[in-house]
Formats: sequence, structure tokens, C-alpha cells
Amino acid sequence: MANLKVSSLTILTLAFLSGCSSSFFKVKAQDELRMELEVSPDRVFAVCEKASDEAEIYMFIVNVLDDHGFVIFVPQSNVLDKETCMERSNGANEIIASGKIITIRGSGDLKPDPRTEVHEVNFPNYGIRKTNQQILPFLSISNERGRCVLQWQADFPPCGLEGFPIK
Amino acid sequence: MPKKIKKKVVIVRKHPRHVKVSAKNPEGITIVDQHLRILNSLTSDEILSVFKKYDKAKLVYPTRNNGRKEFPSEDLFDEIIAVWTDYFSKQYPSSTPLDPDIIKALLATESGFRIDPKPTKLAVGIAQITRETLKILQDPKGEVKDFIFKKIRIMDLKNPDIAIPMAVRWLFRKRELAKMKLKREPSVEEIILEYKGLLKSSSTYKESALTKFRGFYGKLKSK
Repeated sequence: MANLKVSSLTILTLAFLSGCSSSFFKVKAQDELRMELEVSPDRVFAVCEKASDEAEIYMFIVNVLDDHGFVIFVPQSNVLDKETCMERSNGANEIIASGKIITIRGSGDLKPDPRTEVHEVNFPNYGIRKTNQQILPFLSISNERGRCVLQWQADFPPCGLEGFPIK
Repeated sequence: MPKKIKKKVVIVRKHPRHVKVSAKNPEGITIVDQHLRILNSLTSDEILSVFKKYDKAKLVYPTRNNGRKEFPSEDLFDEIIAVWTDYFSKQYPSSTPLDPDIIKALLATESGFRIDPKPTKLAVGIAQITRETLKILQDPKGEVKDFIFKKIRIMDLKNPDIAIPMAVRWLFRKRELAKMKLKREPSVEEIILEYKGLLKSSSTYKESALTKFRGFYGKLKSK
């Protein structure tokens, strides 16, 4: 009996732990203009990349791993200076690190764009993963604690964004 | 009719000019001394005055969105876009006139039609014109010396009446630059990449910078 109790406790603990660390990706809502994704923190990270060989121009991008193991690019549509871009990617990665449910909002849909090339992205915890020509222009990233990074508005709660929540 | 703008004449001391290759000019270039060049320019007051007095009867307007709007103010700037696209098309005639929908879709990607989006150190206002671009657009000896703006301050770029004409002028210049770089007529997307400074970029994410533009421009063209 004692063994059974221990074993049940172990199973419960393992189930709890696995529940806590379970990885997920879902399309929470969408309409013809916008989309809202919800993912676990292991499936998302933000980067700031120098985008020009000629000028100090940077791009802020959120990389998301979908439920088929493909990388979705979520890029900000206007280019940035290095400082702003780093602030944004550091802010987004803090949101990811301190949250359990990460919400990514974008405009458009996840229909693959055949005009784009397939790339490889080194995903922490998952290794090298390929893109599937899915690009969702960035609007915001936030977590369940109310922290957010927004494309054009100031980053403070309640992180309101026109057109959201999607009805 | 567009308002007559002030024309300032300057003496260009030395100026290389392409000529027919000959024994005298084996490289096809000659140096022309001391000739006159007419400078066109607009101040912020003149920009406002040109817009006010512009003949709007035969303008080509950007496509209006009568359905669900992605951005609340997306149709608010259509007249400014139409006037200045027409104005600069007359200044820089081309066999392929610039489509005002390109300007509208550009504003969608740059600011979502916000006149004062969250500031960055690089760019300001609805068209996200950079400090460097503002300098170039006002330099009488610079790359756009044939048509410049005068006495425009960085804070003026928060006014769409000023920022949009400057963006249109810059886009005309970018089309010219893209043509020179590619040695052919650039596509719409190549002009936008040049505006963003990404035409010759080797970044993995270069293409993704176009997605928003493609989506919005595509929607305008399908209406």
C-alpha cells in the first residue's frame, strides 16, 4: 500500500511536471485580417538581425515553431536602428522567459508564400528546423502576466491592440 | 495646376557629361565647365500651399477600402498621396508612372498609418523617414539636388502633410537608384526593398520584410 502511494505520488508529480513543461502550439483566433497564436515558451524566440551590408539597419523577428515542426517567421515590417531592435528583442525574450503562455499577434494568415525561400533556423531545444514559407507580419508578443512588446504603440499593459480580441 | 515653385539658379563649376566615344573623348565622358543648373525646392509652407491650390480634378487616388479596415485611419491620407504622386510624376516623367497604391501600402508597412508611431532612433513619423534621409532630401549639393526640401525639421515629419510628400520624393529617388543598381526597370517590390535599404541585403529575413507590403498592396489591387 505504501509502495502504491509512493508510486501514485510519483506519477502525479511526473504528470504535473510534464503538464508544466508540455509544449504546445495553437491558433487561438483568426479572421480575414489578423491572427493570434498561443505557444509554450520553448517554441518561440526573438532575434534582432543586421539586415543590410551597406547601412546600420536591423530587423526584429520572432521565430515560432509550429505543430508540424516548421519555423514561422514573424517579422516587424519596418526596419530599425540597432538599439531599438535590441531593446525589442531583449524585451520579447524576457516576456518569453517569464511566461508560460506566449501570445503572438500578427496581420494576415499562415498561408505559405511560394515566393519566399526555405531557410534553416537553429531552434533552442529543438535544433535545426526549416521554414515552411509561412510569414506572419508582427503586431505584438505578450505573456499571461500582461507584459508585451508592440510594433507601433508603447509597451505597457493592457497591451491593447486595435482589432483584438478577434471576434 | 501645380503651383509654380521657386527656382534658384546655381553655377556648376565642373560637371562630367556622357558624350559619344571619339578620339577626343575615348572614355565617352567630357568635363563641362561653368554652366547653369536650376534648383527646385519646397519649404514646409510651400508644401502646404501647393497641396491647397493643387488641381484635384484629374488625380488618380489610391484604392479606397470600403470593407473591414485593418487600420482605422488607412483611407485618411488618400488625397495627400494622390496629389504628391501626381506632382512628382510630372517632375520625373516615366513610361511606368508610380502607382499611388504603392505609397499607401508603404505607409501601412512603415507605421500602420500612425502619424506618430512609437519613436525609434532611426526614423520618425507616418513614413518612417530617417534622420539621414531628411538630411539628403535637404542637401543642395547632394544626390537629390535637382529637387530638394528646405528648412524641414525632424519634428515636422510627425505631420503627414509634410512627411508624405517627402516620402513620395524619396521613393522616386529610390526607384532611380534601384534602376541603376539592377541595370533594368525595378519591380514594385524592388523599389520597396530599396526604400527600406534592403535591395542588396543578403539577410535570411530580407524577403519577410516584404510580406506586409505584399499583403496590403495585394488587397488594394484586388478591390
